[in-house]
Amino acid sequence: MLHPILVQKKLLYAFLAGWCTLFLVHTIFLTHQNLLPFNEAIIDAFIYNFILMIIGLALYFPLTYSEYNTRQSSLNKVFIIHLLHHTITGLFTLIIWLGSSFFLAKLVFENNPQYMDFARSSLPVRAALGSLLLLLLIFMYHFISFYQNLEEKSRREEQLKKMVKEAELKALKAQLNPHFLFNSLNSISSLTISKPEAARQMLTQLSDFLRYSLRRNHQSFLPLNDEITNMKRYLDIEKVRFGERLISKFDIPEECLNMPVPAMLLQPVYENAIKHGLYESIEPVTIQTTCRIYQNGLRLSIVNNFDPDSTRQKGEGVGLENIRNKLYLFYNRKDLISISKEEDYFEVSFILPKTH
Amino acid sequence: MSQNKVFTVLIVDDEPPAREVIRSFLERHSTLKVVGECSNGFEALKAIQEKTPDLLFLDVQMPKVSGLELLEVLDEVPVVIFSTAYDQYALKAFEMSAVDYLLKPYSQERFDKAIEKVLDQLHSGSKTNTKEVIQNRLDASNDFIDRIVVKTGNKMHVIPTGKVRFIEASEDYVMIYGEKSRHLKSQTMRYYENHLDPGNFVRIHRSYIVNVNFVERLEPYDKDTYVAIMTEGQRLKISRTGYRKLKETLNF
Repeated sequence: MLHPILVQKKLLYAFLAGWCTLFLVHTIFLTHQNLLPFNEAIIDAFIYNFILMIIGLALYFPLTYSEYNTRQSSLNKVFIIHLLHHTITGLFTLIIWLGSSFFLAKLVFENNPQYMDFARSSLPVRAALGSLLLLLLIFMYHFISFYQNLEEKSRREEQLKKMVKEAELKALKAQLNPHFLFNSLNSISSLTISKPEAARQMLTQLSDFLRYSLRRNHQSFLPLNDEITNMKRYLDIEKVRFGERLISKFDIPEECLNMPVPAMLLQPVYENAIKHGLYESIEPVTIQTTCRIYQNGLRLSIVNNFDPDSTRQKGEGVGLENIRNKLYLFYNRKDLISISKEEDYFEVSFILPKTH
Repeated sequence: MSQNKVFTVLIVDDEPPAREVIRSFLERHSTLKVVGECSNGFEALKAIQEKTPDLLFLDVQMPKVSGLELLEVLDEVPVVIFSTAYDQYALKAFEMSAVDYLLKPYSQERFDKAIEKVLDQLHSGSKTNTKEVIQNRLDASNDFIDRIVVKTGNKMHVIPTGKVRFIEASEDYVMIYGEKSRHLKSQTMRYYENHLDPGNFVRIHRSYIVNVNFVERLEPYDKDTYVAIMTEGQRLKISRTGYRKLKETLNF
């Protein structure tokens, strides 16, 4: 936690200029009103203003400290706690300031009874003016911290936007995964010879699949049904390529189908299952999708078996990391996805809380 | 007439529709006779040994053992037409050599052209050097390898590099020591030195590359040389430069 005034040069200069003005006004006022001779007025102004400036700078820390500690509580409570905390801190500061300034001045003007009389009689006025100044400082600090929070918030939003954009781009790239695309086109080419009807159907499926991911707004919610339909398209295309090597099973009750889920959430999971399960295995691979209503939201699990002897390819974590980020963007939680890897099967499960 | 000589063909691709395309494009070519179809490298090795085809249609990307890895372990490589949808390293390797390759999806015309080329080769008996392709493919990739494919008799094995204990130079070959077995492979020490993750593998001697995870301890050998004692008891000599490299990797 850095002091905002000491960190920002502009702010520091403004702050110092403010105190210089105060110092000058103080000196001129005392001499002009014939309250003190010029020399004594300057020293008096210097002592009182300098000490208040230092204490004022230090005041920032107890103020922000209280802010850090009360972030979790309710608004009303926070207000009262802040008010109390600020009043006490303010009073305490005032006493320290007056006490130390008075004491220092006394050391300097020990043999000057005229000054000491003035110092004593002016204490209430000084206290009042000091309180005003402290109040001003507290307001200023609050303003700074409010402004900083605002900046941080917009920075975080910027970051989130960037993450969404990146996720979109990655999803798009995955769609246009040349290996998938060209092999699918090759399958279509094959079907045109033997089964033109099936070729037409696969072509439509491939188009629908690509269109879905190009058109969908990646930041919105969609009914689970839309997502599942698209994943079935994807799996059907892969089934044409790999025949009996790919088996897919869906266990999704009717009542789950209309529940909203983040768009394009599931695709990386199936892609992983295909890439690390199917592409690397000689034996058949089954992808089992199960969905249930869970605490008014959904619980979804996708399990696939894989060949434990196959050497693992790189890049396994990227797709799942994207999902984790996406869930965080949509639900602001990081505990919604769990991944488990056993001897020969891989499971990704989600909890998708109820949304408002 | 020799132009009517019949040649045998084996089709290797893990996607049934892809095999079907080849089969149907081959219908025009009466001098080529399909003797088998395989959907992975293991089946292919067996079929190649049993049927010794003249021509191989080979998909680059297959589960567990790629098309190129399959060729790597063959003693006698037939004429090959490669096919791939997209493998940038393989493409680079093909472009650098004289072999023909088909980019999926391809037309009958393109296919016929490739056939014409290989028929010339088959008739004249001058095969293009397929080993060159493999070496190009290996050199084109800067990634560290994560498996080594070996052959013992007529069986192929895939050894994940994490299970390799050490590699020993053996004249023109290397001996790869796996979990419980050792396999001879025609490859160079230099290749493995460059393509195994240097965080795990160190060339400790002209004749040895060790997986440091399986080194149990080092013992002095004579005045200033050492031997590495492997977890399975083998004693491997360490050269002076080898000792320095080992020291760097293991940070001792």
